[in-house]
Amino acid sequence: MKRWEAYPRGARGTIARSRLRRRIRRILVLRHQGRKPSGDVPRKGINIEVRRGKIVRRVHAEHVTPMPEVFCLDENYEEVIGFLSGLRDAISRSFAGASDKDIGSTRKRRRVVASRPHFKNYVAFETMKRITPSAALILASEYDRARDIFKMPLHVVNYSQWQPDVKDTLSDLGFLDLFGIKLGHTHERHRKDILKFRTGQRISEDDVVFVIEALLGMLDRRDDDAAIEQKDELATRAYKALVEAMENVRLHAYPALPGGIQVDDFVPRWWMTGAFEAATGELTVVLYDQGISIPVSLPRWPGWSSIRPIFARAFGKPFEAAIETIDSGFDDAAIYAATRMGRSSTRMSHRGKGLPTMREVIGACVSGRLRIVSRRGDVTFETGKRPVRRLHTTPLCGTLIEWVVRL
Amino acid sequence: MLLRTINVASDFSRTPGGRYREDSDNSGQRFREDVLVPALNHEPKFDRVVIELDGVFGYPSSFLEEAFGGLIREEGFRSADLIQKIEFKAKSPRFNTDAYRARQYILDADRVR
Repeated sequence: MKRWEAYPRGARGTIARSRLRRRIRRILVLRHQGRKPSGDVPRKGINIEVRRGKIVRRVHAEHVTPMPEVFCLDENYEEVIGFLSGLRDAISRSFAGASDKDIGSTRKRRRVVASRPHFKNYVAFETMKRITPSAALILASEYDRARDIFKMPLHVVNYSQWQPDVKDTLSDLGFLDLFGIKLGHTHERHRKDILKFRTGQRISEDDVVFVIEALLGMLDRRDDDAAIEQKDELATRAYKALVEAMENVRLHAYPALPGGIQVDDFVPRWWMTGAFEAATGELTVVLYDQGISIPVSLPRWPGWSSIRPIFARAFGKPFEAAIETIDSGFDDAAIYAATRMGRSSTRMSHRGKGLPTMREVIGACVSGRLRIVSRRGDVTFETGKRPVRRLHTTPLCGTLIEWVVRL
Repeated sequence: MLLRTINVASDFSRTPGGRYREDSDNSGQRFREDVLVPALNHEPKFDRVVIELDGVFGYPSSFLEEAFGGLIREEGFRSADLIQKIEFKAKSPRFNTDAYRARQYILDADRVR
């Protein structure tokens, strides 16, 4: 601040009133946070660097939640999903108080959060050594959802200490765009090309076409008829599968609550990305939603009543009872049943034909894998192999569909 | 013979989408209401409506079912009339299955009516 003599006489009163208002505002904010205006800020904890866009601040943090070192659903499923289950609460707590209506307008709320000299909790991205596209998509969806609900700018912590490969993966995915951070690649191009994630509420044919064309464009440029025909076949099957998957999200993942009840933290969207790994020639496409999950929605699917007896015979009476009571002990069987439903219910209902289409994608490839994870269930279909069903301990919030194919 | 040819890719969209207008821009409902029904109800009546399937990215099953099964369910057509009047053409073998499925959806919709 300048000395008084630097201001013209007529302006001093205005400046003094402005400074007094700022001081009063700061006292009110600190009182609301339960702290004394004298600057009695708790100094326990550690120093961290907080970054939002180009703004970097140094603050104190009291509690650190480290991220899993290997953020991969194949190699480290339980730890990753366990972490993601707690992440939503952790993000909500970081905005705690800022969305309180007592504080007033959005501008005031932003100033409250921006003015905090310390963080109670923060998630330590620097402990993560490796992250895969599927896991990164779920992570991005949680922060995207928070941005939608709280309408507040997001921040990253200790960004300078993140692993370069993790930074590159999250940057390519578009995760850092959520924080207003632009990154040139930190070191030699990492192994995977990853597309920026797409998200929406309705079926987006253009986004599906973009992902498919971008990925097929990364394959080697053989232009003989057989190669072109193979790519076209894969493109057609992938297009149909992705549109059907989006339709399933629209129809089943976020059912309307009775009486038109609105839920504050309800973000009825899908998130999608794709990746290409040059070393193996593998294409990956992932679609994720944060909905009620396939096992919970299954009784509402058209044609379920006609197919239920078939699966009750296959899996026994406990399966039928579990579906009715939304018991998660048969989630893997429920997903498998859902993938068979379209085939079986053709004559009984004009709807419910989507999930079998997803398996057709892997039929167009030399090798392919379709994995559907929903709540505790995990079913994998692989070319030339029998389906593998797994029941996990920790439930995934929503449904993840992942195709990994090689032409 | 009075013939009407509908090329889905150029007369509607290269990216057929979901089932209903509220879910998707290029929905089966929109194709049925804005393209198919006007062709089928045209005066003077067309003897044949040829639907060319090539040139699109793909036909999701819900699109086909709503477009063609919906002719029976929503528009009140009879399957015998539609099977006789509608002809599907596909140069690429990729779309032959879709032609078969569209015909099946017409027959299935009539069966459950």
